[in-house]
Amino acid sequence: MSKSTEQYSLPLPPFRPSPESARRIMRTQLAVLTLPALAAAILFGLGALKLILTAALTAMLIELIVGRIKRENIPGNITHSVMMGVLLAFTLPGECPWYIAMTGSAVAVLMGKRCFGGLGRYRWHPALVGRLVVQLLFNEQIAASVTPLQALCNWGDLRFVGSVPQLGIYLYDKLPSLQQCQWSAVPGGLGESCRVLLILIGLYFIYRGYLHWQLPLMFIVSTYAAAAFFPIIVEQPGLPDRLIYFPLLAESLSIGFTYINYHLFTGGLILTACIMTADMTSRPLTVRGQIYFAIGAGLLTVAVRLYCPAVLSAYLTPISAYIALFVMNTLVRIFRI
Amino acid sequence: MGLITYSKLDHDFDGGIYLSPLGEVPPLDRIESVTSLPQPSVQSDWRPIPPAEIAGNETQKLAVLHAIEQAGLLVPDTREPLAELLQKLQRQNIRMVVANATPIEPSLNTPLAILHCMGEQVFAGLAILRNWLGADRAVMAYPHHFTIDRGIADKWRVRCLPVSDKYPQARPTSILRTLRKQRHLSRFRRPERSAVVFDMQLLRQVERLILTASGPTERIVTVSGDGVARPSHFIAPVGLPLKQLLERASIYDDAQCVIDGSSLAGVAVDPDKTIIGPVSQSFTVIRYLSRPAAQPCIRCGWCIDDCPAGINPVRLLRLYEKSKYELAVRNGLHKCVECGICSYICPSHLPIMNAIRMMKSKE
Repeated sequence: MSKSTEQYSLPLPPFRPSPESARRIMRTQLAVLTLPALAAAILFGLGALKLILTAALTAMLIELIVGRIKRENIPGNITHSVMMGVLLAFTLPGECPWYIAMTGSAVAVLMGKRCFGGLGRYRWHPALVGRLVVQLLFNEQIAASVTPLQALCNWGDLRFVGSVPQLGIYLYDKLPSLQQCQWSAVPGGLGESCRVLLILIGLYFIYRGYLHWQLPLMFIVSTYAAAAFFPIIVEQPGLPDRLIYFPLLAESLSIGFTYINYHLFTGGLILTACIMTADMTSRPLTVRGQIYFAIGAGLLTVAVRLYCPAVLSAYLTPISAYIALFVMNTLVRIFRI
Repeated sequence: MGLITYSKLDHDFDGGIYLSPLGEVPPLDRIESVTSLPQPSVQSDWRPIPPAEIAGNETQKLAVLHAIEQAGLLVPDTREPLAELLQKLQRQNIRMVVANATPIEPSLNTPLAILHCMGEQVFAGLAILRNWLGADRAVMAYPHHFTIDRGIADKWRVRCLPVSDKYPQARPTSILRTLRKQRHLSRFRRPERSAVVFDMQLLRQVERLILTASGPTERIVTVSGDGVARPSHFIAPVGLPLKQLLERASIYDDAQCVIDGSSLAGVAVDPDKTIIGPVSQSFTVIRYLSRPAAQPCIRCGWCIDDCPAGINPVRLLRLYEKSKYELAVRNGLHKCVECGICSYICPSHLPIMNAIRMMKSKE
């Protein structure tokens, strides 16, 4: 053996084992996601668990098949795909048919992940890709129940006394209470329901270093600010003028803040801010980029909820936070943030 | 399966990491001579110069510089002759000279051993260089958990400052940044312009040279790691085969790798063909070496978070793969201190630091 060959045969640094591996990150994230799955089983019944398992097994099966065809064995890849399946199921309502979960999961892995080269190379969060496609294909089956968010954004039903919308009647009488939205089963996605648990998981991800604290915090803060300051625009049937209301000023402050809190504790906002953003590949690399990303996503979430055109409203309003994250995923690679 | 259990890595919120000791940590007071060699003098008619006489005395300064030049003292980090560095620094307005006693890694605590057993020599060496450069202050930066003899420090008018021992505090740039954070250095001036950091072993060599006319014929070398049964500090003559030192440290038969330097950024060496050189300081022996194969980057961003130089290491890796060296220079290639945190922390096991080293060597 020549000297140069000998030198090259010596190992290269680092000589310590890595503290974390991609496989371990994926396993830990998946293990933690079993908690919202259990919560969904308790709150929505065993049907929810079946739906989650269907999505997870479909994702695993497809990943195994594609991996076998491409003859690659990347540690953590299958776990990641299973996690995407579980996350997709979290965004679906409890009464959703099994084939929708299966289709969404297959689309997430094949279109969202594998089409772009697999783990580490995809552009958009695969679970969101799956959810978007499912929303477009099976809108009627998914939108069978009216979620608090849909009810809240359906301003056409508001009756008017003078020029003041009766926000309070809607918030206090027609919607589930805020406490219910935080803890228990309300219409909406399986994994979105127990928001306190999602926040705890987000804190755990921050502790483990999978998530910078700035990202979920700025996401929630920007949503809160947007909900507080973005005006509500109501089309008046038969009249050319629109009515514009500022939520904090239209009625009393208590009603205004209740309205803003509904924006936080309904829909997929907390799931998106605390769990979906923990996917490393589709978010910006740097902390600064992640702050811009979170602010943009927060503002877009409220914008989609309030200003979505009527034609698209049925499709996009229930998944406003996911759409916002999806759009910001696109901007990550465009602006290289 | 290793789920959820937290790793040994302790993240620090202001950047940087703390490393756990790799194997046993050598005791501070165990410095022994492997073989004794006669110590040649630099000049036969050499008269020791007290440090106090150097300040402002051009004749004495010239004599000291000449002695250092003749002895061929080298700066360990850059391997630059100390005499050349001093001449360069003379043109700058150096305000502070710093001795950095923070170890490279917990188990490679050579600077602490030197401070513990030969503190007087180090403080005297620091005082000599302070007076030679005409600096206002001399500072000993030491890990906050270490007990330092302040009596000797006061005698040589050296201020002792406790610092954190997070990796890579042993690097000159890191310690200067820490002193700047602690407001011992101006925030409005680049720290390299007003302060200079000296290695502990170099200070001891300066003291031995100027006060006892002994040349740099010996090195204090630490052998540690989980591949030796008796990790120790040794006073070893320059030129000694490394193998002898490893045998004295009771190297295990199944040890897989010997590293010159730290376990994160050191270079693997062949112990049969290596000798103790003029800048050798520490060797880590690894018993079980396991490094999984690299896989695609998952864009976790940890290399950016923990980079002490504040650059984007994974971008430099991409530029290396595309052979875009000029762009790499513009992206801070030369700011990299080669600490190896990026490669160590990477969950995809990407050889980021090696790519940076390769690019630097091609420049």
